[in-house]
Amino acid sequence: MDFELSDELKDFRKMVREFALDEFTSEVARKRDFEESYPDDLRVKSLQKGIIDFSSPWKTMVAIEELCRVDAGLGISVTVPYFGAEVIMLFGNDAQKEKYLSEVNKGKKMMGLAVTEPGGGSDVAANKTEAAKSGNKYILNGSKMFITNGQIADFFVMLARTSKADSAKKHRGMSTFIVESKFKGFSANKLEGKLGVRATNTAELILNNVEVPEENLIGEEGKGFYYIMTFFNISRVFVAAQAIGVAQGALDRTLEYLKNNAPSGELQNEYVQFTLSDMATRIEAARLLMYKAASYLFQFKPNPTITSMAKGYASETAVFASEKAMELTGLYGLSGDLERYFRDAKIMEIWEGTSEVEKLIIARMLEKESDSSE
Amino acid sequence: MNDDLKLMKETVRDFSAKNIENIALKIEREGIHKDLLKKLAEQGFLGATAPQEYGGSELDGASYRAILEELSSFSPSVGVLVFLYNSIASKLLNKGKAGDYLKEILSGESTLGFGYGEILEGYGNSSGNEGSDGKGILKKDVIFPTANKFIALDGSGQNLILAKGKIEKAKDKKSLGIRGLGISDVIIDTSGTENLGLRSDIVKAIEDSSLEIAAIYLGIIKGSLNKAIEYAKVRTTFDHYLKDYSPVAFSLSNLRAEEELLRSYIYETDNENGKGLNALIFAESLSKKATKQALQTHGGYGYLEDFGVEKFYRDAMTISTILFRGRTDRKRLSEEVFGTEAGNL
Repeated sequence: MDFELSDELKDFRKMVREFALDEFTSEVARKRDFEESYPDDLRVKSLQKGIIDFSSPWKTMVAIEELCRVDAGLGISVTVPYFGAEVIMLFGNDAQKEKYLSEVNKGKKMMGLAVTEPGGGSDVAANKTEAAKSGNKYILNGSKMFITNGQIADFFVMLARTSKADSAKKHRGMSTFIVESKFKGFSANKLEGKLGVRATNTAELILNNVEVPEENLIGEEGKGFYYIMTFFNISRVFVAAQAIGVAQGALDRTLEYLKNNAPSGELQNEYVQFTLSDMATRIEAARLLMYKAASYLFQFKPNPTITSMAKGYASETAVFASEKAMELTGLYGLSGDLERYFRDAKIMEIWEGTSEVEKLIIARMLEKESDSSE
Repeated sequence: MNDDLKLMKETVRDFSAKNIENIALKIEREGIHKDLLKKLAEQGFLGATAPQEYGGSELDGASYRAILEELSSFSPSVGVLVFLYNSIASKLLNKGKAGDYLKEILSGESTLGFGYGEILEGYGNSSGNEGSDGKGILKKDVIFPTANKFIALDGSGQNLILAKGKIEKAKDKKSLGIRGLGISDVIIDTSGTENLGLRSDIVKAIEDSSLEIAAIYLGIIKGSLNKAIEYAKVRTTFDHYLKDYSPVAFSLSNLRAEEELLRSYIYETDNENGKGLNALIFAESLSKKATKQALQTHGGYGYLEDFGVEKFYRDAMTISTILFRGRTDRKRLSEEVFGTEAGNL
């Protein structure tokens, strides 16, 4: 057991931190947050500087944490153009990887994942979007909700139903497709007025007789639900990284205030000290859980229990730390950058499996594991 | 709760359902408009406790708290405005020429902002000419920065003045909460000001208003839980209503129980002997728990302003920053409990 990152990763972490501090200034973060506009310039710059390296999942995780530590809206914006890529990587064929993923890896295209539906939320198996086979294509009808990159992605990995729902086994009969935004019948409405992560682009997608060529079916028909759940088991580690970034950033900025801007003696008050200690302890515990989940996952031995614990605990830690940061910094936090952390943090408990879903997964796995250990 | 109080609550609730509920989102986006101020004035809410000679209604404390609770359950921004007019402005402006202005704001004709940050927290620079044009004093974190006049500190940082002012620069961010009023930097024009007393007067006014601030929190708790409970009744997931799942049902009903306890306390006590502080400290923490759970119950929809639940989450934290003074209030309560200096280290 070794709790240290490799020297290479440590150097990489340092490089990402410097990039974030240089580029994610308060001014830029505030502007994107205020305008709800996607920072495409930063996406391009982060690629050029080698901040994004999807060939290494460890680097990806470290980059997400360090970028979100400085600003979650911007950090997620520059790391999310690849969102859903693992589905194609793991289950797509060579032609799909060549045609779609290589363009994304070069930064020439952006992608997204379209699973959630209006009124569907966590209950993925209740999805209603239909894909009807017609000759050598599928005709898609339905809508998708809260889709990150919804308005700006070139294509989406989309979950749709290819056979009628069997009420007992609703998760069967679903398939995943690559759907291009330029396909006829596809439209996206930007969702405005998000509480936080406002630099990210979120939309509702409408599919009105969208014709998708059959070669855009990912893997096998009917296995879509399984592919998406496999994906979430990966992406949850990265959401943990977002959340830990937010929590750590909130602690950084609170300490900075207490040292440089607060009335003297503030840092000597024990109420303040105890609160800081709680924040730091939870962050460290969340980070260790994330490292453990990542270690299993990146060695192709995913452990869903640990992954859900990491995601659930890290997101609660982000909310906790940003709330405490507001309490300790008062008006400084309210009129400065910390209030943004408070708004950004809350989404972590909702997306990629709400805290409730993570708890259900943990409980089910506990039951299973105790059966097999008897 | 006696019949008069029940009737008062019903009246405010009806008023809010008619005049606030349908524009609650607009208030968040564009601020409180003058026509709403006029209606609040006509109902006697703007000057609920103010003396009649200034257009006030001279209501008792419980009635005033009922107004704060009910208004805040629809729009915490409106609740905070009514609080600032009654618990601060009416106590500071009820004399001389300032009295004329008090009449104007209580009738909804003019508006009054508060240089709040520096007054309560000593935050920001209160002396020197810092305005971009070299005139006036830059005041940070002013509540209701679009108002016609402001209560602020003068150059010495000790005296309260009533003065004109203007927003320092175009906004580059929305305030976290109470967006119906807004919080921004303002340059105060120091010529032709009215003296209103000492900084300590306003601090005392706030310290004497613990129960009233708790009533605003109570409204926030009620408003957010109402939304969550209604949503849990109609929203299904995995083939069942949210309300049928024990974690959802238990947490929302638990919060509602705490809300009820807080309510009965708020209407049956007064601010004497630290009793208001009991309510304030309980309400502050409950408002954060309740608004967080209410948002979470709505899932992704809770994260969008259209659903009207995230504002409670923002407002609870904002009010906790501007009206609740964290360690200062906890220390005040400690001193009540211990009967002597406590909680210094």
